[in-house]
Amino acid sequence: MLRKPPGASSPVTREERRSTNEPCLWCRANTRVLSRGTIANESATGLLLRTSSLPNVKDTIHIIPLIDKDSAKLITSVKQLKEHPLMRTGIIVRRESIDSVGVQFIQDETPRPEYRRWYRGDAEIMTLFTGEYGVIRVIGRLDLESGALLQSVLRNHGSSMRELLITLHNVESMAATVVTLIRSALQQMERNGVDVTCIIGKKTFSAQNNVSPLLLNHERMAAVHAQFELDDLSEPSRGEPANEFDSPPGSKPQQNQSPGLETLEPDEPAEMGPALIAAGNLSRIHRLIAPLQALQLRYEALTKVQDAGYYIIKQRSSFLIIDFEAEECEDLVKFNQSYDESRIRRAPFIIVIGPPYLEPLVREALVAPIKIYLEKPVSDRIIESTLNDLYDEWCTTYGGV
Amino acid sequence: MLDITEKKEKSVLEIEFSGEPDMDDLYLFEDHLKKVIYRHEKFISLNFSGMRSIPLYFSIPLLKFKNDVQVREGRVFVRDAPETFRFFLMIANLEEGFEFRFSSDV
Repeated sequence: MLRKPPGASSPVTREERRSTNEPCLWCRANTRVLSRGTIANESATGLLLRTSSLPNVKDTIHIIPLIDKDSAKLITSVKQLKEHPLMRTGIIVRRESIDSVGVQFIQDETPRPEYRRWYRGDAEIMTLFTGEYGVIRVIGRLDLESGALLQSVLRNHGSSMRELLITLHNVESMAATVVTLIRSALQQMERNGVDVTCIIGKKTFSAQNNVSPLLLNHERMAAVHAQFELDDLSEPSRGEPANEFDSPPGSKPQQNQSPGLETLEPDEPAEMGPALIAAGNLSRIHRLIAPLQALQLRYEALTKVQDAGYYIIKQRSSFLIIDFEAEECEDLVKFNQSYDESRIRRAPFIIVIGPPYLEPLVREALVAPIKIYLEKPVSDRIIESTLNDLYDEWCTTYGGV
Repeated sequence: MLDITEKKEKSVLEIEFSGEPDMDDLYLFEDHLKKVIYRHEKFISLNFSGMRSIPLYFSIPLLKFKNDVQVREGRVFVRDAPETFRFFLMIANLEEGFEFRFSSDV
């Protein structure tokens, strides 16, 4: 089967198609009569329309799938159909049977939302692009071929977009190479100024535990299935603020904020302990203090990474941020000893900031579970958003502060 | 810039969002929704009539919020959202649980 590259509009090539049997509304371009029908099968370039009032070959038609029950009620005129974001224009290219015709999509004369479905093997990619906004949904198993298609779709639209939402939570499996392809394409889009938001599923992500996040900006990636398991939030009695809404939005609970490199909170530790910064030199420590101050989190710092384990148990640290360079790997190994000896019962949330190529090694070598590994170079904003996410996760896990 | 106002009528808490938000408003939006969760409201209407478009990066906080409300057997109404936003959620297969309402509906 011939395939055309995404975005191309050659009428002679055909895309892979799948049976959909989706109810639809359609109308001829030059009439005011709405008709019902069924999309028997569909590809990125055309569809097979089954209907009782067959249009003629070479007729131009407008068609929308009724993908939800409300659409049929909301669309009562040809004008509404033509303005619908999921409307596609096509030309009848053949009569398939007594009640069905083949439709080839054609480009609309005026710019309008572009809705498409692509199929490769066990994967389906659905796209809706409207001007600067784009949504992509991926379903099924992503092998190399479908991954390359997705990468190609991303590249073809990447230059014209401002925002992209991509959902991978219905992806059953993804080849490791595909992860690399997709990550590379998405991160390139981010570098080009596109705001990328990615929804992943537990299933998708579990197989990829050893790869770094798909996006540069981690805050805009969520494991959607994990969100359905917020049992802690359904138990409001656990340490919730009585009326947290009274505090201004964006603020964290008030803590002692004085700057410094020593223990800053002499009082009895609160439920949430301070963050502990462990970095080999003072300049790196100072850099990490700023985002902590922005979040109004208490913090401590030490330059001897190897001693961090003792401080965690002493200060009941809730977060540990380790910033290291390649030549300081030995300190990480020594940290294991202090961590082991401290017999920490509740591990802090650990963020490690280090060279990209050392991530698998460090994850393997450290006895403490690493929540997030940030690859150097990393911006203050990413550090801050990562800490903010972990702060929220801590509150969710342990029931507030 | 994102503006958030609230009012409560009968049993429905209506949160109205207006303005033209940018990335800096993401935390404000997310924080506000999180705080609403702690108030145990059962019926929450998110009114977007004052927004020309909803940033797609708002979808994650919205999704979390909807899930949290559902955990407590509450309902989330999305009022007067820009038309395409619903289709974005629909295509993304994230629409379930959001109840869309429009002022033009009788």
